[in-house]
Amino acid sequence: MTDARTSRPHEVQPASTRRQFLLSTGASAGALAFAAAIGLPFAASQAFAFTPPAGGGLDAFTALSQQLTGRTHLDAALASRIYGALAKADSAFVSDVAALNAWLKTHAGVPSDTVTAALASEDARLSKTVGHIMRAWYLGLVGEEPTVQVLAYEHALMFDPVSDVLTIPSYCRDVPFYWVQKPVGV
Amino acid sequence: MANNPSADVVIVGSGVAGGLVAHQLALAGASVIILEAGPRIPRWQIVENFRNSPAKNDFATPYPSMPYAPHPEYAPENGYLIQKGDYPYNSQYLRLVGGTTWHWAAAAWRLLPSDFKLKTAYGVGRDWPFPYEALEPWYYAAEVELGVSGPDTAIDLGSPRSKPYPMQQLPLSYMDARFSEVLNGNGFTVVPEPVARNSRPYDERPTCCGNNNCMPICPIAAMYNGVVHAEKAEKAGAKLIAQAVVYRIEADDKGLISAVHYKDPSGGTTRVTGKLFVLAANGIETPKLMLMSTSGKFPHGVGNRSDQVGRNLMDHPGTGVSFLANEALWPGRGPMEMTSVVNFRDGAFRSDYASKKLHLSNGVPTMAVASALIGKGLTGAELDRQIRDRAARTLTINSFHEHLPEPQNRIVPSADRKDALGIPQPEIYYSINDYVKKSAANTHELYAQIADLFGGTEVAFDDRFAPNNHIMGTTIMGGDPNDSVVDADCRTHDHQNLFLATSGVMPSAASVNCTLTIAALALRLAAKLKREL
Repeated sequence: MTDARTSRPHEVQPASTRRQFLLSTGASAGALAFAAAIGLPFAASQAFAFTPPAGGGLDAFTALSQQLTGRTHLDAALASRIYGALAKADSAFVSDVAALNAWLKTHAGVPSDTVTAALASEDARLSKTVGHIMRAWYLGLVGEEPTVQVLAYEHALMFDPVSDVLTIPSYCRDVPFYWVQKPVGV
Repeated sequence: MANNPSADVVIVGSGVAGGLVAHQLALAGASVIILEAGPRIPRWQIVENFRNSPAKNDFATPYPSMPYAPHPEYAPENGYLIQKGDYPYNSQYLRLVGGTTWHWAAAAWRLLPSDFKLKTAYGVGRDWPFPYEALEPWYYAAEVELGVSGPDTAIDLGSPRSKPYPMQQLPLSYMDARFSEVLNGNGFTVVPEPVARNSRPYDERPTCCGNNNCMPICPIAAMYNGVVHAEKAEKAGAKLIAQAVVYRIEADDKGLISAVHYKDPSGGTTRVTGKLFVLAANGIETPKLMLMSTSGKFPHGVGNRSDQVGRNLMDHPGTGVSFLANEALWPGRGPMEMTSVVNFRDGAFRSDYASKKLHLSNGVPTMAVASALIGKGLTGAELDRQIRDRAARTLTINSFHEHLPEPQNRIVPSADRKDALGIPQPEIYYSINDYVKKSAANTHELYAQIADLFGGTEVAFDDRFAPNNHIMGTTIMGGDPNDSVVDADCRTHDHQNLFLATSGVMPSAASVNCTLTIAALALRLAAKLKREL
């Protein structure tokens, strides 16, 4: 996982491997370039056979999270914390994980980016659970006011797609005045 | 000292105003006591509090309100400010050692010469009792003390300077440079903003490295905070007592202030005597304290013969816009704010509607963008793709509109709502007049023009008036003791040895952040007090 304090792009990878991001590019070329830009294997951004562990344990949650986030690797310690927090917050969460994995398995052709829309009409509750899982991984937050828990900040997934350009607020990502340069890919 | 503390100068409040006065007087050899209502919180703890906050867009969350010295909180709301007016005044301020400049954009603007003579020039509001030129040397002194970087003299900011900025301006981000290029010459004048942020090592603090967290906490102190001078004052010999909540000012029958009284967090009281007293507890707590301090001789409170204490509350009612530009600009690289649109700060229109400043946000948009997309149900690769696309293209612009001093906009101590120490909470009566509304309608049009210049889509206007925590006017300065609280020296008309160091004294709000003016007035006051020791 990227460490905010050592994520200077010029140290992480040579310029020649940095990917262009094309704003107006549709579909494949852009998607592939983008998957590469955030360090994913190409396959991860495409539909693939989904064979989750049965039941609703941590492994099943991790498999589900990988499918929903489009990632082949997720931080194991964070997965455990998120799973624990969501299971504690909602007694039906464990069975929701099993149900979502079963649903995804029988909808193997549904890529992760249309899951919520596809689910919304079939099972509103499961659709909502997807939202809770995504919020936990991307924003690092579980629960509602006034008892929102912060499980992640530096390692929240929201920062991945822009980590080659933007800092994680409060961290210094580069030398003073780096911001004068035109960002790569603009 | 422990039981009967006394000093040449007793200062209430340890923010930028109190800290500067304390530092100057301690350097001059005076004995100084600073009484701060809030706690002392080290910078590292504030940074940790931020990273662990569930409401990171609320800049107050890293600074928890204390039961003995509450301040307004909104995530969730603690109800400290009691809203009684037409329009809510959901202002923030902080109570801790160093004060509210722990979080700010560090915008260090001077007022314009015309801002000092609004009544004379445009027939609205009030004039200051002295011209811009009288404050100019103190503006420069404040720029040196705070460490201000700003553009060279080739760029006219409208406020004549006797000397260049102490530091060169920080180079603009790609986005800010592009924003300037697109707007300049199209009916807008965009300039680099002068900021109390280091463009080189200065005053033993480092160069800004773009942590992009000016609000709510600069982790490396490249940005100035009031705590700098609170700590300098201590090093120079001032005694700073934290968690000392002043609740009463004691005046003798001749009108001289003889003491202030404070409570510690457990309610124990202490009387502090001195020769000179300075109130520097912001534009809400300062008038609240004065109005609470009633006595047989002063039944309407200290310094309130004019009935103006707590009145004329002004802020900079702000509106905003955000849109997607048709090119990737990448806000979020560098400090949180670098440029402003300044050609609506002055003009004949001020007789009719409010002046204003517009400013482009350079805050990292990742969290807001991701949060909105997750709310819409996006997952997987499409979520990542859209986070990147929108983070690159989301522009946000906000504004400050000039508020006029109106006596019905006021703060009073609540008669029935009290904090944990039994001290009345502030009750606020606030309204937005047509002078502001007319200007804001024009600002809305300007926002649309700017969005057009960038081929903007999904243009979202926020026309609600947000307070900007620039609390002004509530202890207003003027030459006439019948309609003002302090004179041109920031001395209360009613009490020879009571002085105010706060934006509460400002007779006009103008359209720019008030901190540099607070600092300039504080340094000017300190020079005056040195002669009175």
